[in-house]
Amino acid sequence: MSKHLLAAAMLVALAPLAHAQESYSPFDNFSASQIDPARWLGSERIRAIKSNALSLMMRDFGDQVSNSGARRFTWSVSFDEPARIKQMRAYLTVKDLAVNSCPGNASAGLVNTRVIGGFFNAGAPLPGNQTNDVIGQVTLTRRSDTADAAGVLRVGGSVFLCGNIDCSTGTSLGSVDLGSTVVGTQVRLSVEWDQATKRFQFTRDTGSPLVVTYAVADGQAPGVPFKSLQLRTEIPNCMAGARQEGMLDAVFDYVQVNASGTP
Amino acid sequence: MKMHVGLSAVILGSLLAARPAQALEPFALYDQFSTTPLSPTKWREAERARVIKAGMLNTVQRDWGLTSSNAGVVATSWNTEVARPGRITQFRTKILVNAYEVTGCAANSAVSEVRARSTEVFFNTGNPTSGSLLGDVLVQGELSRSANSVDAPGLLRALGVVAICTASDCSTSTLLAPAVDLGTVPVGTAAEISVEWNKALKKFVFMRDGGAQTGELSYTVSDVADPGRPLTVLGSRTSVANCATGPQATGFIDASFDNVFVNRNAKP
Repeated sequence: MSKHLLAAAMLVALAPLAHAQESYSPFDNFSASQIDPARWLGSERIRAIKSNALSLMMRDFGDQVSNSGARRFTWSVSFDEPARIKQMRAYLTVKDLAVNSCPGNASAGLVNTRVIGGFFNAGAPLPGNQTNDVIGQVTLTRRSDTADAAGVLRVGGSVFLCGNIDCSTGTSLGSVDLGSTVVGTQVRLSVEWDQATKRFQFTRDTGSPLVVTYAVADGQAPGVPFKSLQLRTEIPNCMAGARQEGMLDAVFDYVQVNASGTP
Repeated sequence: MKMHVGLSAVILGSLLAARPAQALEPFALYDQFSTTPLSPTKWREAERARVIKAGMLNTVQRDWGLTSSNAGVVATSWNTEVARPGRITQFRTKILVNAYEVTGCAANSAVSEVRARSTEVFFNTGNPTSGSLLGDVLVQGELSRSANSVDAPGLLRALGVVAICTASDCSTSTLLAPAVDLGTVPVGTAAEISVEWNKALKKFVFMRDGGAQTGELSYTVSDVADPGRPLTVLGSRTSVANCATGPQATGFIDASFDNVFVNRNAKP
């Protein structure tokens, strides 16, 4: 029996009806298809297995207090033992997306479906601090300022040296272009860290791997060890007009890692 | 033709980037997601959902206890928060628990529990600190199921609970008074739960299904200060017992909320 129930008072009632001090007014009956950001904080999220695949979905909104900067959100499922994982491969499908720009804001909107990890630290790592952590990621990206046709996503791999505690700033160590795909198409992507040759390699489908080499030190574990399947939105703030939205609905399946990284 | 230095660097970088390489190890299957739920031995995060489904706000939450100890619980909330709760003193919603799962640990005296609830913070009992729940009074109308419940399977207990937060994030609290028991609710059956703060009479009133069952909790603490962290939320919470000597305990709840009403003066 719960502690609440154990403690349950004998106040229940069978007692006289209570009367509200004020009359009630409707607040929300959820008849719209989306959670109303004017009424609620905390918009849509899904992390679940559906149809024998991992489904991740997120929707967020920018602020309406300025025309500068953007709000950034991530939504993930993370490998339980990231330190043993040096190579990740997965099938990714973006099912739906929304990304838009604010006319008064130079920051573009961006949505990103990715396999990402913090692989090592290039300096003296501090636990919980990403400064000098090196991030490798392979991504499906759509920007609001793209000239691509509707539904087209850019496929790429990149390596990033974090410049601060939460890696919101940093330096690119290189990137590769893996072409484009479209919403609804499954793509197999991999990111692999080859410490012996100081390089990351990125592979799409059955194509040849493309490589980013680096010269920074790589002998330390990252300050924030993680390997994740992840969605990310960057939503420009916008004072005028409708509140800017970023949404991603994606599926991940058949995840593989280096053999020594399995449970 | 003279090549721009920056451009030549880009081309050189691209050529270097195009060099093929071989994987260090062969790949091995990690997860093909052919079974539910998400495996806690493979993934750090468990299931979540917060969406509108069938014309209701649907929230889904699963969590796992730790396997390193036979003491304590892992307690996690999954909330949808009212954007501007400042003038809310009365809150009513329909709560429907679609499914739950809650398991405990024989070697752990802490009890696993899952809840679907509305939570309100109306005032602070002392000197509030902005952004901190310390001293705030947390009021909940909930449908709850614990792992050691003596109720028949599939029944949840409707409760009114009032606690004073003793930590800035309210991870610890003390009950202001014993909970109000508003009876049982079967899985798949909606219950309308109202929570009202009657400041003039220093009491909280809990009501189920338009008054079919009601209860009150009176208090004597100071209620003149605004809360440090004004809060009105719909959501769920799991408290899952840690278990080193048995199966890993879990808490899961799938709940829907509908027809939210607030006191007239609080409407945006």
